[in-house]
Amino acid sequence: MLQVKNLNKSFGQMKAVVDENFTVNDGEILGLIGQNGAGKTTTFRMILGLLKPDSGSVLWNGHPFTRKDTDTVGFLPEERGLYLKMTVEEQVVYFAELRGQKPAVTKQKLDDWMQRFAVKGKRTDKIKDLSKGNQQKVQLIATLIHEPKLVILDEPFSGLDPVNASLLEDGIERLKSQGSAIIFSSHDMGNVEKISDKLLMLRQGETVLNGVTNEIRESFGDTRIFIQSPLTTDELLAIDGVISVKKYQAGFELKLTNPEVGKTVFAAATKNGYIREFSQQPPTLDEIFRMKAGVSHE
Amino acid sequence: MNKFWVVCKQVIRKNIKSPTYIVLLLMPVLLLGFMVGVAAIKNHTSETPQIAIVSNNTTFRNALLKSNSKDYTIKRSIDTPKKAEKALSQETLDGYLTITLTGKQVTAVYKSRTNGNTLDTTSLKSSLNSLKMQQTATRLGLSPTQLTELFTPASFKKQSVSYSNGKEKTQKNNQQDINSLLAMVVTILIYIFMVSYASLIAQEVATEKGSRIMEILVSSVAPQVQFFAKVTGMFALILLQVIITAICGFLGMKYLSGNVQFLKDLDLSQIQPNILIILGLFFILGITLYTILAAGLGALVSRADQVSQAVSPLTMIGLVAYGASFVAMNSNTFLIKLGSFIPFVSQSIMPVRYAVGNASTTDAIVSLIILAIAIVLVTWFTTRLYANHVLDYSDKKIWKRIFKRN
Repeated sequence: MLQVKNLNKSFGQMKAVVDENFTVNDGEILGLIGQNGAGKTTTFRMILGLLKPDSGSVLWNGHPFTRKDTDTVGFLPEERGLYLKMTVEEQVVYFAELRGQKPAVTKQKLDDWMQRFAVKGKRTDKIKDLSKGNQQKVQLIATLIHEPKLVILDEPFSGLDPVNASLLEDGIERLKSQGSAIIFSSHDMGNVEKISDKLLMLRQGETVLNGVTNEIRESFGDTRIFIQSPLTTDELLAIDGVISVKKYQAGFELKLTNPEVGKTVFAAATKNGYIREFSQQPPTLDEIFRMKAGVSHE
Repeated sequence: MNKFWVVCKQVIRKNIKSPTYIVLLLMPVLLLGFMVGVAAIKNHTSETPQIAIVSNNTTFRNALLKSNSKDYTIKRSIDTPKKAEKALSQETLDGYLTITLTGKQVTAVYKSRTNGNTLDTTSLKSSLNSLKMQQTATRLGLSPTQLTELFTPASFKKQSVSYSNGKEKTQKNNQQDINSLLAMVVTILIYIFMVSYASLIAQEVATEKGSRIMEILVSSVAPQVQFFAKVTGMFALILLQVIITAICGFLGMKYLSGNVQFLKDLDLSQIQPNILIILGLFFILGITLYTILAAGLGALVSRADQVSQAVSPLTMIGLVAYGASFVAMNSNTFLIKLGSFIPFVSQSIMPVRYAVGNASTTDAIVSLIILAIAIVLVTWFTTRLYANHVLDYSDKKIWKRIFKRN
């Protein structure tokens, strides 16, 4: 279990992280979201002990995280880096050895991992001869092959196509089922919504959202309606409590002042009987993200 | 400790396969091969010249024929100018000497082919001279003993001395030459090793930083451990290079001393162990100082291509020190004296001053102690520099970063 308590860090005048708090239990996934410069990488570096916090603490299983705990960590940095002249095997063996896994063990596991991530290439291939996507997979394997108990992935999905992204999702889910505590950052809400149990959103170092993913969405109330009915834009806008109407190819998206308005909309839309779609939902994470990212904190 | 060796092994394994290191490693082998080749070619092309001697005085000729020299071989069968000219034109002869005795005068003319092997006439001349002297002595009625007495030159010996702490120390003849030569060889080696390995380790660190591998490394291994592991790995590579260089040097001396006059004249048994130890220590400490600082400088850059920019001030100082070592060979000015105690330049200047006898053993030891203290300070400073900057990718000027607080 990883506990981050009242973490603060500034660089000169710039406040990188302000009073950050969160907990990741074993077998739990925390999605860390925020724009560039929100403080995601700084948070990771403080957890890993690469940066010293100005105040606050990072606890791993109840004790302060120290160098001795590094073997239990799997860390994928935002900027990927591999030794281009090494072979896949040499590379993975070396990184795993740095995390305390014997070369023989790594070699034995490697084929299985390469298959799981569908790496195109042999273990004797030089890294520089692999495509960028495959290099990234090798980097992921090097991060995870020692089966870390604490997994920190900085933007793991960036640069992956949907097929490979889902391979990565499977990989993360697998570690979760094995009881690892996992934190990953992303600016793609799709991935976050799909796999994270918890969510932490940072904006210029400050925590703007923090909690269980579904609860966060619910907390905004069912103020969105997707509807396909005979009603026109003007008719929908005329309903009291409808803030805006956005026309899509096969229907409309409405924003409401409060969930109760949904009933009025439903009644108006169904007064002539059957309609094709009526779905009342909380705002999507993507929308919440953009909403929160835009909010001024002055 | 375990991870220390993992990183250390990795540095060795990676570099031992890299072309840069292999070329560096094989340099002495290539150099040796080159020198042996040159010596072999030289030996092959200069065969002993074949000469003939013709004279109007048979006794004189026969006496001369008896004189032996490695410098030429005499074809006895050719005894007339006619035969000699013929042999010369047929290129079976490289030259012939015509000796004419008229009364008390002896005239000798050596005629040679321009495309033949060149004759070093020194020994031929001296044979001729001593023969003439013997003849004259006989004519004057001098006994061989008297003759020897007459030509015994005045005794002349050279002695070099050096003063240490005001006390005179006599050195064996030729010792001075050996010491200077030794100091020269050591300073050249120090310079080459320093420059090559300083850039190698800086490159090593900068590449990892530039390719962002550093972030993974420091999250697995403490930067300090990593730093010392890298430096240790580098020392292992240097050691391998020293061994190979020493083997090449030894083989080279063995082979070439039989062929090159200059090396033949050196009496290696005259090398004093204390000089060897002092020079060795300067070699080790000088390279240590440069390697450690270079590793720290490598951590300052953001991209691998900036590495030469970061290391150039260091190699510059190394070059200045190397240049100063030549000055120190012949002069002992205040600046040279001062330089021989200042770390970063002392490793090149002090060995020379010590070897030529301008500095005492105490001086050398004091300089070594200062150098060792400098290494400790630089290590402390560099480890901090390394730990603070391996993850710093800002665009700040390299030299500004050194003095930046974390």
